[in-house]
Amino acid sequence: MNLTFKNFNVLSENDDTNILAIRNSDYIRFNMKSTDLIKLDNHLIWRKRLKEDNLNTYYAVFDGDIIVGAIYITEIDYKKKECTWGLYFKKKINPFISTISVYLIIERIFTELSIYELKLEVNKLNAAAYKFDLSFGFEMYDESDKELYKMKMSSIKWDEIKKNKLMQMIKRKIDKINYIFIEEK
Amino acid sequence: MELKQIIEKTFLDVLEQTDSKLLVDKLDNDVVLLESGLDSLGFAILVATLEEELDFDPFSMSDEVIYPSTFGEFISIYENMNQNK
Repeated sequence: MNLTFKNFNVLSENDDTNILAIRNSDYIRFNMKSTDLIKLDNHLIWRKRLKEDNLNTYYAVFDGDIIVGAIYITEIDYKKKECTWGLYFKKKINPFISTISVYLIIERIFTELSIYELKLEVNKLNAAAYKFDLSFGFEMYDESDKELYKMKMSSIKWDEIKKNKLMQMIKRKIDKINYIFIEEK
Repeated sequence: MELKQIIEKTFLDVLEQTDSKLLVDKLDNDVVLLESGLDSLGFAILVATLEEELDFDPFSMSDEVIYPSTFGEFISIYENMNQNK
């Protein structure tokens, strides 16, 4: 298995079209804050702004040569040492990809960005995603929003979670695959 | 134990390990995986556990993107790769 995490700043024209098609699929849109279809022009304008933005980083995830989704780090606050993350993936992918991607991005956030507290928001109707996030050690800290649960995890908690049997199994799998983060052309 | 039985037993074990419940009466071939009770983490654990037991992972062995929709398709992928490995 070869996984590539390609920074949105270095996406090709073709990559843009493919990632937008995934983002605009009903399966993804209806679990997002904004359910509107995104036009390619608007996507490209947003992506241009992203190049000047060091508080938000988006990666397209490739399984081999095929884009299967995106995973992103947003609202990075270097003073408070906190940030938020999120993801979207095609419905039909190798069952490992989302799990491996989440493990790798969490590890990257806590080790390379020196973040202390990692946050996320999950649609209250998306029970599978909520359970998935719980399994990774996230805890709910705010359920006052009508549509979203707000969850968080500290770097200390992540160090504990990584020691459990299930995460050790995921780590062993990661050690056997090839993966790369591409930040620049 | 036959391959199908190993997969079925492991599937049920992983459900328990991940605090999940089987959402169908029986794990038949036509059970849709996404409706079975295992989430994506569960499937990752299932594939990893089966790899440790069987010594192969069909999803990593294949160059094609394969994704089973049903439990029967999931078993078939393992049976086919078991013959080809």
